[in-house]
Amino acid sequence: MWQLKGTGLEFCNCDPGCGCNFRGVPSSPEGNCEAFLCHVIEEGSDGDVGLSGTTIAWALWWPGAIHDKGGRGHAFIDCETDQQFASLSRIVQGRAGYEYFEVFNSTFEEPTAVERAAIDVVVDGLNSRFAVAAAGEAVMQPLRSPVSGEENDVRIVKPGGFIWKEGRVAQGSTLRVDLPGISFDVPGRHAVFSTFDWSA
Amino acid sequence: MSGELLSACNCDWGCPCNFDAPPTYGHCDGFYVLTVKDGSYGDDTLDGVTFIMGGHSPGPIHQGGGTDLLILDASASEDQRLAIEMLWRGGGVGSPFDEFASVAEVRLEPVSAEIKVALDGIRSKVEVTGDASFDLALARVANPVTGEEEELYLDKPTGFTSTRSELGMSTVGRFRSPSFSVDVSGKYAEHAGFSYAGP
Repeated sequence: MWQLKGTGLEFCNCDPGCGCNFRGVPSSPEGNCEAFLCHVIEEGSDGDVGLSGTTIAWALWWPGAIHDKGGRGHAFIDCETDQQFASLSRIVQGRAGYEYFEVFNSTFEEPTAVERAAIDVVVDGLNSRFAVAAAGEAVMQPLRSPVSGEENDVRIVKPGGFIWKEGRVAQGSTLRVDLPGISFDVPGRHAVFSTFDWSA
Repeated sequence: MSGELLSACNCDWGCPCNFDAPPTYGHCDGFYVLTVKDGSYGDDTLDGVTFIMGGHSPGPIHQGGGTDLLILDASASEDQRLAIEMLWRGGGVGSPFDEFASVAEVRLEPVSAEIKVALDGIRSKVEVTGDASFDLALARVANPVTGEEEELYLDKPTGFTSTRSELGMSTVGRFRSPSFSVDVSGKYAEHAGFSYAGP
């Protein structure tokens, strides 16, 4: 039995709103899905292993829609101990249950890569950001009315969602990943600030 | 006035305009079907009045150049129809009418027709017959992998047409009128409550 609770930062190359939330098909100018996610685990455990205070960043790439497969994943895990790394690796690779990790890994050509790395995170609502020194960075900013310039507060509510159930939509002012096979630099696209509570 | 609105447009499910992004196909063909439960304009009650606002924008709605249309309920009184037309023409009557009117370049002659609205949340239906016709039926969207219905809502505390919507699709969305016709079947649709007021 494991449980992870915390704050999620999500960035992809779709226009704000992300078509995958509705039709399952990216609304990106490139037509595919390129994403960089960060899960800040505020409370977590896997059996006897405490996971509070750890963080996962996940760089993702698919040639088309996620469910059309052929994807690649590279996860970075910021933790203190080998036991924490082993536990979070097992979870992220979809070997410990829960739909989100199982479904994503089922769309990859190979299991997601996992490695330990420091993740710099600033959790600050729609102005949150994170960076992995050797991989890339992502910065969000609130949506703004194209007419008045005022901040727009827009939330997608998905009672059946397996990544989040309420996502506050933002814009990624920076979204840059530079890894072998997962490389993109697409400012001005979709971002989400959310909370998560996963277990299996 | 307060009541329930149904909306349908030519965008993919979700409609990027909800997120300040450009329309899916570059332009907007869209409709709002408004059913007033409680309302008044001056001394006139608007309780029970229905009307349809819609039209075409060549790009994102806020960039202007729009062609606006108004379908009035033939069973409403002359005063009620005049009140709705005054609101539709905007110019200081209140939100959201002023916003839509401000981006209209062409206003088509309002049309009276028989408007039947069967309100049932995201499964509502509309049937308009007369000088204009509109067949609209809403449904939830289906997950592309599992085929199961997806329950989706949009909360927009800063929204000006509604602040909480249930999102779905139109199974049918065929509009015909003497000067504007479009088929938006299978695309974006929503159901929401509304509450508007003006001076």
